Amino acid sequence: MTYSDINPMGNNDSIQQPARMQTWLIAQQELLASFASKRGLFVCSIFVIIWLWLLFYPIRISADAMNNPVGNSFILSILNLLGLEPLKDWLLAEFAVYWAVALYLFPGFSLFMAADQMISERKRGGLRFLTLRCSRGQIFFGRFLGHMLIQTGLLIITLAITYLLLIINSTQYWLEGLQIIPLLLLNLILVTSPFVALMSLLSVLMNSVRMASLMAVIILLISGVIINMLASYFPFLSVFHYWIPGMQVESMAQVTPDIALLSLWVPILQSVSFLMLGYGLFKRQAI
Amino acid sequence: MSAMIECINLSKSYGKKKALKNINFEIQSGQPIALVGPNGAGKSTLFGILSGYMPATAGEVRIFGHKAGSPELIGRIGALPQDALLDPNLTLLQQLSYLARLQGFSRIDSQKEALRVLELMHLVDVHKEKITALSHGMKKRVAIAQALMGTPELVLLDEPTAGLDPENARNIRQQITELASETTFIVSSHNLSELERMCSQVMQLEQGELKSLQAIGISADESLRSVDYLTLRLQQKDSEIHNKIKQLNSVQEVNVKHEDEFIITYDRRSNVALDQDLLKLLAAESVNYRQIIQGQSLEDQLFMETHS
Repeated sequence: MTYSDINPMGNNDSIQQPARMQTWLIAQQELLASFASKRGLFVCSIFVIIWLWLLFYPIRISADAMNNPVGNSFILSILNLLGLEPLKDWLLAEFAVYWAVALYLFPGFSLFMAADQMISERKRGGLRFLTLRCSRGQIFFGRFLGHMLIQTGLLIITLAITYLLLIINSTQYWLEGLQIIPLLLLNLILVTSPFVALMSLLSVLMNSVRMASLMAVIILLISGVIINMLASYFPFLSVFHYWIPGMQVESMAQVTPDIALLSLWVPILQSVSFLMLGYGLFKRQAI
Repeated sequence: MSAMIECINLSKSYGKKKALKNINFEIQSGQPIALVGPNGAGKSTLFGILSGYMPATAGEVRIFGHKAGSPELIGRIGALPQDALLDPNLTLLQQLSYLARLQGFSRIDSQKEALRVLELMHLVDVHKEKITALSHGMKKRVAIAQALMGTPELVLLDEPTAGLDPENARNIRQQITELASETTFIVSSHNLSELERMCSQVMQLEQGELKSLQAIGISADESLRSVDYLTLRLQQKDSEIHNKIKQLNSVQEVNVKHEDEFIITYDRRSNVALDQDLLKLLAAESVNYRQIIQGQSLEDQLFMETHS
């Protein structure tokens, strides 16, 4: 039998996939493609190296210092200097330091990991193979979802290793550790989401991955300064701070994850805004 | 019957440059349709708009009654986009199966469908390769294979045989002819003799304007409908014979295309057997011929009429 004998679907009985199924397929493919590309593997390798170092040195040492303050005043004074004094009140020192580190590192890392959601593919014309088979909305949101899955996967891995450190150092807190993991995960997923959504938007606007990453850094670093300057003359403009991803991270790092949940409306609103704007542009874009 | 494709006052501009200017046409489903025109005539732009890759600046395009690019057309149109490449990091089978799954195939059937279309393009042996490992011609054939997945009702092929070796170009022509009973193909190419063999209609674009949409072999000019053509190719140049051909009954004009090739225009109603008269004349004059073709080539149809 040759393959020509098999045509499971003629042109008159084509099956329309449910929209969510296609979005899910695109998200899955994004996962596969991200780890199959050299760029994806490179960024992941960097991620693994950085996190292994962080987990086994700064996080472990800081956690030891918090568990045994005597003789560790130098490390504790550094935490105070970084404005992380409230972390000392945490029962689970490992997770306390992880929380402070992950709140800053994951969003930053996601900028680079999610920078190429569509740019390379649009340049080589690959999106044209997709648009005849699914809607632009499914492509756009599927890609975003795929990158959020990648971030979620990486968060779960780092949380699992941190939990391992916790039960090695303080076995008695194994249950408390398990209980806090979902709360940390939810917080960190939502904190990371506007950064990934910003890259979805920039993937539509920019023509190179490098430019998209550069633009993201400019938005995050410079726009705050510009808004501050403008707000000193026109105070009502300070409302634009709410559009800068991560504007609430500093305050979140000062509190425990359950209290931090109260400020998550900011990243949710930012994510929705960036995604809507990006989709609106992508829908009309020539590919 | 409603048209398969309906273009109403379609225009597309890139900045100040107008790529398509107020195009109007209707196409019914059926035999393959040729899209011809010089470089920059707007062929790829028209394909791009029909495929939903880019919006029109003005006007409207409806395919199967739906706006181009609308979700109702998903899975009903296949296209070979010019210069588009699959992901360089995944194998052909991985990517084509993924595209098939998006089209609605199950996981198992998607692999079968991917292999089926690869076999149509004689590429089954390389299904585990990545696109970067293939030659230019093979990449083109993979892109054609994806256009055929799921047997869509309409397939747009933008220069499908450009850069292919003769054997593979022939295979693609053969596939188009074989699949034409269930799929309507619109094929753009600069190879007019190839289009002539595959297509029954031709759409001619020039500088963004639709110059003609006509059946191949039948003049677009109503007054010329009774006129027919014979194309005569000689084995050797003969400068005298065309004057003698002119004397034959019903011959209206003899155009010298090359010194050894003539296009004979005649009135079909007054002499249905001109070809036999011509053979007798050639025998009497001891002139050896290479070919006598009923009708004129697509090239002659497009350019002789437009230049007359």
